[in-house]
Amino acid sequence: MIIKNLSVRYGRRTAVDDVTLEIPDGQVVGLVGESGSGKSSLARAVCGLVPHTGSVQGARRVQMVFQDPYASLDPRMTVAQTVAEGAGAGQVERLLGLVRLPAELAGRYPRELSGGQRQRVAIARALGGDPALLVADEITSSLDVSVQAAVLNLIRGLREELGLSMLFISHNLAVVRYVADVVAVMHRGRLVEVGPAEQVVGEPAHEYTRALLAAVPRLRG
Amino acid sequence: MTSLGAGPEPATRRGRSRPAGWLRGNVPGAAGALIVAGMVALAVVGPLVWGEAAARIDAAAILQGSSSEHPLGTDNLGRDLLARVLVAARYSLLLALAATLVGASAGVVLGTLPSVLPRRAARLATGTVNALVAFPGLLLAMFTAVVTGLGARGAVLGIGVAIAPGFARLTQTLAATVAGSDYVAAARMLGVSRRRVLTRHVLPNIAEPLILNLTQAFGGALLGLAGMSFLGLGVQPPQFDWGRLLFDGFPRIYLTPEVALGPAAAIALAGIGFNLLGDALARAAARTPAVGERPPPPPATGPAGEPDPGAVLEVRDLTVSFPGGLTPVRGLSLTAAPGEIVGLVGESGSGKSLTAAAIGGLVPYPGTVAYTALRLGGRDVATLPDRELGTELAMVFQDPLAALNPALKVGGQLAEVAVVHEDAGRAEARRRAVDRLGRVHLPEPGEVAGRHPHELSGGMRQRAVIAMGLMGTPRLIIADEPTTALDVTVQRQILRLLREVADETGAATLFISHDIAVVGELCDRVVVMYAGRVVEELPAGRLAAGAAHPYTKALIASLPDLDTDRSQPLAGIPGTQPAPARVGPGCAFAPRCALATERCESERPELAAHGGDGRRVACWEVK
Ligand code: SF4
Repeated sequence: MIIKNLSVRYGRRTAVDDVTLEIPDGQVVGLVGESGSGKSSLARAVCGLVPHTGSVQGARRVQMVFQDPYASLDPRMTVAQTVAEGAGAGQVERLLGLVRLPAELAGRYPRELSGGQRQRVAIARALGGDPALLVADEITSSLDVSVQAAVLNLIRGLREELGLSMLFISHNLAVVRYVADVVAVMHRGRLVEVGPAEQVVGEPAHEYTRALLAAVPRLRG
Repeated sequence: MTSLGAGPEPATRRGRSRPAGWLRGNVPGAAGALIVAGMVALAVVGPLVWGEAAARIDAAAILQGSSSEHPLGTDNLGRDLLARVLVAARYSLLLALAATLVGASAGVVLGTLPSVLPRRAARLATGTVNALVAFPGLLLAMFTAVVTGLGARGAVLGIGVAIAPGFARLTQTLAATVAGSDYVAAARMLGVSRRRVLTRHVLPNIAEPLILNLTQAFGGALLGLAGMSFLGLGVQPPQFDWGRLLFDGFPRIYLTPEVALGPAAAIALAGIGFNLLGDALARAAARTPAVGERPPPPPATGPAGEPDPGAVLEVRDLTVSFPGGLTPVRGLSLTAAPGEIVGLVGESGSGKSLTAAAIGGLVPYPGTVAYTALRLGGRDVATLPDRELGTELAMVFQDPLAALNPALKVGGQLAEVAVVHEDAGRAEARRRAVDRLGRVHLPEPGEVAGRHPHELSGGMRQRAVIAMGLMGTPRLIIADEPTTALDVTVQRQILRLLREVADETGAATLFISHDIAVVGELCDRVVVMYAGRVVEELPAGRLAAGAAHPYTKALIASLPDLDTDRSQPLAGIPGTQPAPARVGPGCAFAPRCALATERCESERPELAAHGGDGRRVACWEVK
């Protein structure tokens, strides 16, 4: 799958400026950038949720998981109804199993679930659409660290199990490095660096990437 | 015992709103409910009880005023007016109900059209609604009534038509909000049709506010119908509603006012009742259900003891509780020395932010704060005058916009602090504001002072808030997730600034964060909270290698950094932090702890010194 010369404009402001990015089959491409870098606009454009120019080739069936699991589930629908939206009622149990949620949760409403559980439900719903590409936009940024770890493990597991291609977007370079095969760095609407994860983090070529890396907080000692 | 009743006093001081049960202490709401209940009862029994009296013609008592036999007088056929007013309740309410239903159904259909129609037709529908909303309702009603024929049916249709645009607009706005939500985006990506999105997602989510609006619309319809009847456009004899009675009695108002005042009072009372009830219901729905019980008495606290001379901030046995036995902060103690930055770290639900709020006197109603000691510079904060607290304590929050007035220029807001708390002159205050803006490294502070908050970036705003804290002579800075909303590069700068401020002013800093890496980088000492209690305290430099508590260790292991082994799964912690109401008698971490024993479940480990350099840990398995 390849994103070619994609641009997104809101009025006179250019949020995404002529971005070309390949997402190899079965790989996770991590997209990092700060607020206003255009990474979320790019994600929404790939999903067809915002008007854009340029093209997204080879991406039939794109599904998305959103940042805020409190806003991305219909509060009046049970877990089963939500998950069945794309896949049909027969698939609910299989999908819940895929995201490691017990089948008992099927009858619950979002307000009865923890943040991590909700995000799993959102992932299950997206998987129900049998996506060729899964777009994950900051899916762990509203979760606690201990819950984030489990969701990241799940994402990596799903990639192994289903051979899923993924566009994984985050502002957190350490998180992106952990899940992605390829890391793309976005700054002011443009891609400034793309490369294998270890290489981008280990030997950053662009000045902005180096600035980002230097700012990542680390434990001393 | 020192107890800071965090009820009305701090709540009003900071202008916080105060939640309440929807009818508890809500006099207007209760009155509305009472009136409505009375009206409904009257509508049911009225005609049964007084029906006969209302219809009895008495040629001997025509057009009388008030008397003991006819308290509201009689009409031109000698019928008792009080009985007629009571009987008319049923017909008046039924007509109003019919009008409301007509208006609401038409409005909802009109309002949902834009969500199902193709783009151009949708725009036309929206435009129509906008035009109708702008049109005077009464004119619309009268026009419709005249066209459809005089009488009850015309009046009902007329009022229905007058109500419809408002409902359409409300439906449209609500539907647009839901249509823009992430779950509708997800449904669309999954190929769910527009019609199905409407019936499955949009309608169920807008139903509640619409139904609430019905109550108020009903009150409006009642008044509107009375108005129509009063104008002679509504109910025609021999039928009668309140409006008709008013119409008949009005010519006699100078001679025997009671004949007109009776029906008028009934109309007014019913209208007010339904509006009050609708208002109260809408308010209740807008806020999260509040717990109605009174807060439990704060736990007994011991003697305060002597102040710790080396501490700027001294907290001993701080407990924050809410009604219903919820205690999100339990027996927390910590100290901070001059120039020291103490990190308070924990995940959501750990009680860290409430701890900060309690120290700053910001616990929202109906929370209760109790402590053995809460001292700033050796003095009990409860005894500190507001103006001293205002200059000695600086607070920085996650959202700098919450601390800045959007309507005022930044410089003016800063200067205000000095004017209010220190009686500084305007010019002096202004000079100091520019100086402080420069101290937090805002470029061209003089120019920044003249700008409004929204003209600054997130990082600049946070600097401005810190500068505001520096207007006084802060001894303590409480920073609650001050960098969480910022980009990493900006976060780095703000962290550096906080360190610089601590070094230069000698103020102690309490830095609250969910991010243990940030805390580890910035702070001198780290206090780890779990389920309302401190579970470990240690020098920040020892976090990576010297953490002893299983929770602290797991938290650190959960965090991917730039050297994490990508071939291994992340550690994570199974389960979730227990809610304040669910904390058992033992160690709160036991259900998630790999080392837990039976003792951990039943007996709570106290925070105890562990090794040297001020390390403390609460765990049975740490020896
Ligand atoms: S006291 Fe027991 S349950 Fe609690 S952290 Fe220590 S070992 Fe785990």
